[in-house]
Amino acid sequence: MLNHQVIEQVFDQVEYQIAQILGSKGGPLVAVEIDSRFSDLGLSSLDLATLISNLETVYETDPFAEAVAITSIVTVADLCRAYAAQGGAGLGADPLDAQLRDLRQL
Amino acid sequence: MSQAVPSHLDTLAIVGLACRFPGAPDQRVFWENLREGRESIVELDDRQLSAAGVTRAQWSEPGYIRRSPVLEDIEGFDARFFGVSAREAVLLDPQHRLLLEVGYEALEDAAHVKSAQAGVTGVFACMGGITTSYLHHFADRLDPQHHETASLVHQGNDKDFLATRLSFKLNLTGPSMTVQTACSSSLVALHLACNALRLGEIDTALVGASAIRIPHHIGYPIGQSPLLSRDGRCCPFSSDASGTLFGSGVASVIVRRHVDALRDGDHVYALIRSSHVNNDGAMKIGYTATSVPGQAKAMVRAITLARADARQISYVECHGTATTLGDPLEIKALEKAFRLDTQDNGFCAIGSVKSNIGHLEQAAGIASLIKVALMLKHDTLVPSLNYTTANPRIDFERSPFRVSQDTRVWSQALGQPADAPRLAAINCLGIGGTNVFSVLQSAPPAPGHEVEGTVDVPICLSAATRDQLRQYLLRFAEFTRAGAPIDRRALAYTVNISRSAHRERFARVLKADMDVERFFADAAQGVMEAPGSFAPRLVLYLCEQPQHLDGANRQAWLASPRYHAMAADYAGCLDRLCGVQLDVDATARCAELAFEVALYKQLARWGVLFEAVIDAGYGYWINRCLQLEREASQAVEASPAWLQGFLQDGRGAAQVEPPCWPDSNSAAVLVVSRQAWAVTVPPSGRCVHLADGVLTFAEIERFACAAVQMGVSFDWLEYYRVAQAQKLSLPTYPFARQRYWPDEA
Repeated sequence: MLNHQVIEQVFDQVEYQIAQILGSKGGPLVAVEIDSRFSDLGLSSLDLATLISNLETVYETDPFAEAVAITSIVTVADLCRAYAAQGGAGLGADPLDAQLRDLRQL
Repeated sequence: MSQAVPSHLDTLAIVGLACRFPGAPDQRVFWENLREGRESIVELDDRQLSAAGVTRAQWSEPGYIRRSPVLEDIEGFDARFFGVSAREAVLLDPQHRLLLEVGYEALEDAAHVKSAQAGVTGVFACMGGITTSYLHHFADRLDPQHHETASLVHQGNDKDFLATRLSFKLNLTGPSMTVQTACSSSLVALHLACNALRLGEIDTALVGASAIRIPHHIGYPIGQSPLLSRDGRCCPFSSDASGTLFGSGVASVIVRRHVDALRDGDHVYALIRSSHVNNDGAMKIGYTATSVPGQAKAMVRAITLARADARQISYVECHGTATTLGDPLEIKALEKAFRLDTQDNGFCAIGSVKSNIGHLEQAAGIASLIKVALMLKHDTLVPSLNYTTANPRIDFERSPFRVSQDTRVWSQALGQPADAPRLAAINCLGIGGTNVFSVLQSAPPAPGHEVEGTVDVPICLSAATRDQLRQYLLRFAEFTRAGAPIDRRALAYTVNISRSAHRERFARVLKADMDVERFFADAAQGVMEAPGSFAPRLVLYLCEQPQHLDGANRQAWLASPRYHAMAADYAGCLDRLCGVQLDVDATARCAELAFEVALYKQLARWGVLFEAVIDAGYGYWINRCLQLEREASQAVEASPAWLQGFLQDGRGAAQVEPPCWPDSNSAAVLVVSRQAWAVTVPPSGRCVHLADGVLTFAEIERFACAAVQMGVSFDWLEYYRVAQAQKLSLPTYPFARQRYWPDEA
């Protein structure tokens, strides 16, 4: 179980960083909610890469280097959970691995 | 095979391929470029840019990248060969035109032009995007008043007519469809072709992709798109990767079931063990993004369907577009898939052909496929270009993968014998989320590939014009000079069964003691002086005296597998002739006659069909037999009076008076006769003789060549029905390409 307080803290940071990126693109600022989809926020995959790179500077960790596939991140909450998990005790297994094992049966 | 494999897991074989890629007009140059690690992305000069509509102001801007993977001669087309008028040719998108040529080349390379037409052949093709299309660019110059539905412009440019035009022009009768899934299109087309083969819907599949960008000779301003390289180079997996370059290419592969390919002696480049197609769905950041789960699932399913272990896969041709984000995600997906089977590191080489020729969009997958097929065929790993140090998001140290950086003998790199199977895979994806992963395998070596120098072989090659025929012969001269010693039976077999019969012909016996290259070079030199072509009516002139082929010779002849049908005719005819008790001498004479009758029936089986038969002397009895056999099979034996006549008069006499030739003044007549010296040929006619002395196999081959040279359509598939050889990949037809382009008025 992830600490909700940790997620809240991460969310504040993520919201701030998203605003920075949207601001630098000159696009309209939209409200960032915990369940907002990145595509609805007008963030491209390259923007997401920038976001992760900026968050890495803040948290000194990149959960997408190892544990989680970046493209399975759809909502802001997904992203927050990924960072929160890094801060917790031990990393959660990527659910994709179990799915792939099922597909490995003829 | 001891264990029956369900048909949906059947192994398929790539038996032919053809391509035109940046820097490579054909597969042989493409392979040279891959082996030598050549980058085929060129610097465009002012003249080219200006002709393509780029202004000096645009290209002088700082950061204008004037580099592009250029496809040569996109404006040319052999319209006459495909029965397309000059007006229609201009209205036809070059993607449609060039796929006709390249599809035909692939069928020729497979030696399956005629058999593909006779069997059920499916066409699965794809083409380039609409915003870089011929019509999009030249809309106001292409018959602008007539863009209505089913107009020539519509038919000639829309994707719907790409595959079906090819089926129509090449007369292919299997399912025919255009398949579009953006950059994964051509491998999706391959997947559908494989399914149709496994289902038994088709016997042969032609998979084609044609992506030609118009305007062609242009660069791009840096930063125009985050996908595009910032320095005009494509550097997959590398720390200096900054994106890709889009290019153009046209390619086709011919696929058949491996069991059929083995049975038919096909020349196999590589085997296709499996492929799997899926879509990312919605679980990703945006429509244009790639997905690790989507890719990984396609990979795992394909590896599973191939009944393979990822540890056995020693090469993966990646999509590898050289974007800083896309490459690490692709490697991540591959790791997810491979780590289910193995924890080993660095055992699998990877590469991306985009480093050589850029990203060919819809044709990207087939470029990967042809690269891997050639690598498997030549047992060679080739370098992926422009790799310096790893993209910081890829940790190759702890990965199953390493970037292929040099040219090596593949089996040696694995420490395996050359004939041990090698597995490779191809990953391909497209905007919109359709992923494909294919698993390929090296083909087992072709059986009995000994180089035979001791046989005479007939070789017949043809083209639409005399000059093309000369070029075609020169291609063969060059091919046989450059290559290793060639199996002559395979050479002759491949040429004769697979090259269509055109108007201008060269047909001659390649003698065992002749040098092959010299044979073709001499032929090319002599071809301009040869007598003109001729569409004859065939007349058989039977004025023979019996050939006195002794019993042993005759039996040896009839024992040859190629003449097994003739042997059956001979036995049947002899049975009927000898229905009554005869003495030894009479039996021998009946055998003589039966042999002659069977010989002419054999000619008919090879397509040498006579409009008229004129007989004299002994020929009367042959003709009578043929007539009677046509009328009723029992007629000969039912007529003892007839037989009596033959036995009394059977020796016959030579011709006494000139025969009456049918329409000899108006029509070209080709007289076929066993004894040329006895024939007076009419003024409009020519004569080929079947044999001067004792009939031998060599005489038959010489006759076949002479008949083909004169314009007779000879059925080589029938000729080789029971004496097949291995097929070879040989030079293809030299198209006479002319420029068709909507120039400014």
